[in-house]
Amino acid sequence: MSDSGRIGQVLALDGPLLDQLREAKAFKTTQNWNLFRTPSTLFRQETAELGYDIEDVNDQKTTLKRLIVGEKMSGKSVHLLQAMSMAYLNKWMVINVPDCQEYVLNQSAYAPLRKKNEADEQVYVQPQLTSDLLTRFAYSNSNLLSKLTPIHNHSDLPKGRNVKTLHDLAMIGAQESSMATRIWDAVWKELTTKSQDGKTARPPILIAIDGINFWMGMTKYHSADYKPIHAHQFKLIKQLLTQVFNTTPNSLPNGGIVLACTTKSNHPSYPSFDLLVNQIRALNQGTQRLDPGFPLWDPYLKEADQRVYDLLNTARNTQLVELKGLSKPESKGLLEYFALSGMLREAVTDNTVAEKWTLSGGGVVGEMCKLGARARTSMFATGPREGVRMRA
Amino acid sequence: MEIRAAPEIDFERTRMDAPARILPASPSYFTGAPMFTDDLLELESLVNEYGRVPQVDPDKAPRMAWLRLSQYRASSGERVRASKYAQILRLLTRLNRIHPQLRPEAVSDTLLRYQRPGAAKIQQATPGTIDAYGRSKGVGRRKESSARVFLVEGNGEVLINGRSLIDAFPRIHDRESALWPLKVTSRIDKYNVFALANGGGVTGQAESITLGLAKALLVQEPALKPILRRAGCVTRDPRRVERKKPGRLKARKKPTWVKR
Repeated sequence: MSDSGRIGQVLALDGPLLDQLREAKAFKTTQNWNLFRTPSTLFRQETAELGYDIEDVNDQKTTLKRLIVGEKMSGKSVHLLQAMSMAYLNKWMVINVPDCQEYVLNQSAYAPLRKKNEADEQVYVQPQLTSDLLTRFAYSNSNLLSKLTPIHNHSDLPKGRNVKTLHDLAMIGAQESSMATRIWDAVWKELTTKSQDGKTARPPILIAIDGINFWMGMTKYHSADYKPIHAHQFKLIKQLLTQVFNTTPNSLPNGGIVLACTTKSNHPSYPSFDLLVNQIRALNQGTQRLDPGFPLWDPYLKEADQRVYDLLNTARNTQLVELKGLSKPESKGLLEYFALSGMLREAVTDNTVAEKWTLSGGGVVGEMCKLGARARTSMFATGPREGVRMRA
Repeated sequence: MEIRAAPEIDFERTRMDAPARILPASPSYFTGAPMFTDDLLELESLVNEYGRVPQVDPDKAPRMAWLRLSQYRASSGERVRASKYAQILRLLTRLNRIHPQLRPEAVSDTLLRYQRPGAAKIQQATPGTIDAYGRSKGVGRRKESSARVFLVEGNGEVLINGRSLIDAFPRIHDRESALWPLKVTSRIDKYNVFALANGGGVTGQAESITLGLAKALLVQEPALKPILRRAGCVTRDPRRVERKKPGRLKARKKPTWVKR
């Protein structure tokens, strides 16, 4: 899996892995899965690095946090899918948030939590979305969960529920949204308990979040006073963000990887988050916060979001993964796959690969797939000008 | 009244060198600008006489700097209008296209008279150069857009206005037409392109980059000209947006025709 020799190959996903990925909603309709019989994915340099990360976590049970950025169609969501595939094959637990946008659109029920102190900020829960999360979690990890028993005695849950395995526990929340929040807390407590053996073993966890930039500003929800609610006031969002940005050494006691990727399609613009990404990049490169070259906030910016700025305090351990274009050997592998499947009618030579590499803006995967799957009429085969008679 | 005959002509004392009746040197005396008319007629007669002599293409004819309007006016002393002088210039250009090796002396001598003084060293069109960094520049225009394109040997990276190709041109068609000169000559991976386009819209900018890129490529490799010409990259597309006319709703669209 971490074999660098596989870079440039297109590997198929099949068997029970496909069912797991489908249940976790890893596939998106905007991707080109429907062009092929078996879903396949290109093994890139970044995939090999993911493999090394997974091996590290398997050995040392560390927690790795990654923020994945890149331009539009550079393969961020598919990177998450590859991570999920590797996690399932390694018998990890996978928690997937396929679309962060639905958490902020005010299209799902929400309710305030009772405040412990008056001065605290009001926190909200989203029962239906939590239930959806538990559904994905329960069904996609059902094999593992049905072999594990709960360690803790969850006294706040109503009696009379036959909870023998973690799968049963998760399914209660999946089926009843009213109990989803409490069940999620219970499941999270179970998963983050240090592993024992046998039926109480706890595998590492992969948390995959797609579109995290939607969580970096105001939502469309309103409070009781009809004031907009910030995304960080939602319990589930805050919990998952804390997993991406935190400096505690073992935030996932049994090890794991937290992957969050941004989305560039139909995305809101949050300058504070752009600044955060630049700051994380600087931190990764070794620039400290007090060094002269460190990116600072613009004091004249009206859209300054203090909550997003504060994420920098705990962003020290978050690595930025920038997905750029493919290399030429990787593009050749991808185009050969398209040619073998019959979609690409040209010969795949170094010349044509280089052409498509440039035309896709330097090897951006999504654009290259579009070029590989393009249906050409005879006019386009020769070119837009040759078929048109120019004026003498 | 007595009618007498004229006295006898004394040929010894009568001067024969002066005409009995003063006639103008040329019938153009009776026009508004005699010297200009004479020049025009002379050039026209040369064109008529030597029009069948083989010509060269306009861009192969020797580059000549003709007299400016002010200089011509000074030489003829007449206040010739610019539009009239343009007729002379047209005839001069036509005569200049006669193949230099087959050109009659009469034509060569006449053309020399109209050559601008001080331009004895004929101004050659300065071909584009490749600078110390290996960059060549080409400028292209289409509709309201213009583009400056810098071409340097590389591996196929493209930057348009500082952004990547897919950022600048979301449409595949625009991307292909912008890089058409390189695609047609199979040199996409041999050069890096840096283009600055402004004005107009997306497709106009893409097409202006086509022309600019072709020119820059011709500086690097002049032998590619026939290939690029056949691919349609060398001609500046002269089409512009047609103006709206009175009595019509748009340039061509007319109001609904009513029978009565």
